[in-house]
Amino acid sequence: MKRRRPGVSSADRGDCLDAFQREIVGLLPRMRRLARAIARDAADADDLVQVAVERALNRRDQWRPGTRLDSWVFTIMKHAWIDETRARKRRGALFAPEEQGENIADARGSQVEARLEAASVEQAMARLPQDQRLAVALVLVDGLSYREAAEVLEVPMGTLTSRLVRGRQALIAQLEGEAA
Amino acid sequence: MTGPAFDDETLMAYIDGELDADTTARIEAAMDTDAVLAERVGRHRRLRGSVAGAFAGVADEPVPERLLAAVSSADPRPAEVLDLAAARARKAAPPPSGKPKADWRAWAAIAACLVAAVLVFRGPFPAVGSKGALIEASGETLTARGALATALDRQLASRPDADAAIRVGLSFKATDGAWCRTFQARQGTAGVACKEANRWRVRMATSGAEASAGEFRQASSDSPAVLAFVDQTITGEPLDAEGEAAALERGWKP
Repeated sequence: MKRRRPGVSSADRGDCLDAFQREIVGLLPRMRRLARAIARDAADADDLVQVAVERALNRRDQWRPGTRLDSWVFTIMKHAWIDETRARKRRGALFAPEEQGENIADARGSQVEARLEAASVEQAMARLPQDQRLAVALVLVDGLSYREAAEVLEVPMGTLTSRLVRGRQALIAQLEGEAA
Repeated sequence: MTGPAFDDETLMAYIDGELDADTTARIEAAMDTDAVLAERVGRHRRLRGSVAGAFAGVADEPVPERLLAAVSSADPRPAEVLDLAAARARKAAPPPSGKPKADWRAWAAIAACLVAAVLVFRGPFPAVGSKGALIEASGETLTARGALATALDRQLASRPDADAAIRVGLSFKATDGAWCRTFQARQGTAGVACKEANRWRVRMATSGAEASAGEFRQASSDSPAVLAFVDQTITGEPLDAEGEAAALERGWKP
């Protein structure tokens, strides 16, 4: 017997997401997590993701199939963030002061302690120099390998590892200094 | 101990799983006898844990609709004017009144696809991760296993088995050449899996409501999201009974 092809009109099909878009949707949770580690402020972070998504779609013809889409999108996000920090400097806008955006008001009951720890990590991350923060975010937050993170940042492995080492030493110094 | 044998960079690489087996073994052996070294490793391990933990929850939050809408946006904007201020302005301001109707319609039409795409990657699937799971998630790849993998390999939709926990529906060739089959599990998960190098990769799945016995006996590919996905990826016509049996015989090799 012959099976009938399912009845979905071709008009609907044109509006569906294609494979590229579906992969981007799949990356959104990771993009948001990475953006939060880089930008700290939640609204800034989602704005950054939005810019990265729009740029990625605009430049989709520049992505080489067979290479990793996540690395490519993360690199776009890195450039978007660097552009943004430069634009802010030009506009003379200051970054949110440390106390601001430390969103501990939503902590509930037993989560307070975890939330406080997370807040001090976020604060310590925000104090890191940009280069170190990006390296730490890619490896410790997203879990990329050194090689993958170096590719995203478009730097040699040695540069990546030295940023990682200095960034983590600074984080340890800050977090342990706080606890003491 | 005469001086530190391992520098911070090496210990961090150890925590990150970046060291070769030999150095890893040397560090682990040294940690057994060197409490100071063990404490240094512990400190780096705790840091990795706190940094990862501080942001981990973000990935579990629902993705804001405006980001999903940005992916599906049909009209590309010039990349050069994109910056955070512009993104913020678009978020704050209502869409320009030029063609709101068309925008809304476009959104409604893609909604089903978006739901499907999000489910593929985000779950939650009752079928994922639990004991006797039908779908194994590894990174963003979902692979059929257990009863689902068996059904995809061997079940003939043309010879349905009323007692099976999995029902395979349509079999078709995808645009990339792989054989794909729609499936529905009794527990409600339905989707499309395609044979890639000896495993069935689940390319889309929905965790619909529990299928009632009556519904379950219907064609297994009747979920609109599954149908939409099939329609989007199919090339040619779905297999008929003869074609299905022949493809099964060949192990679903392309």
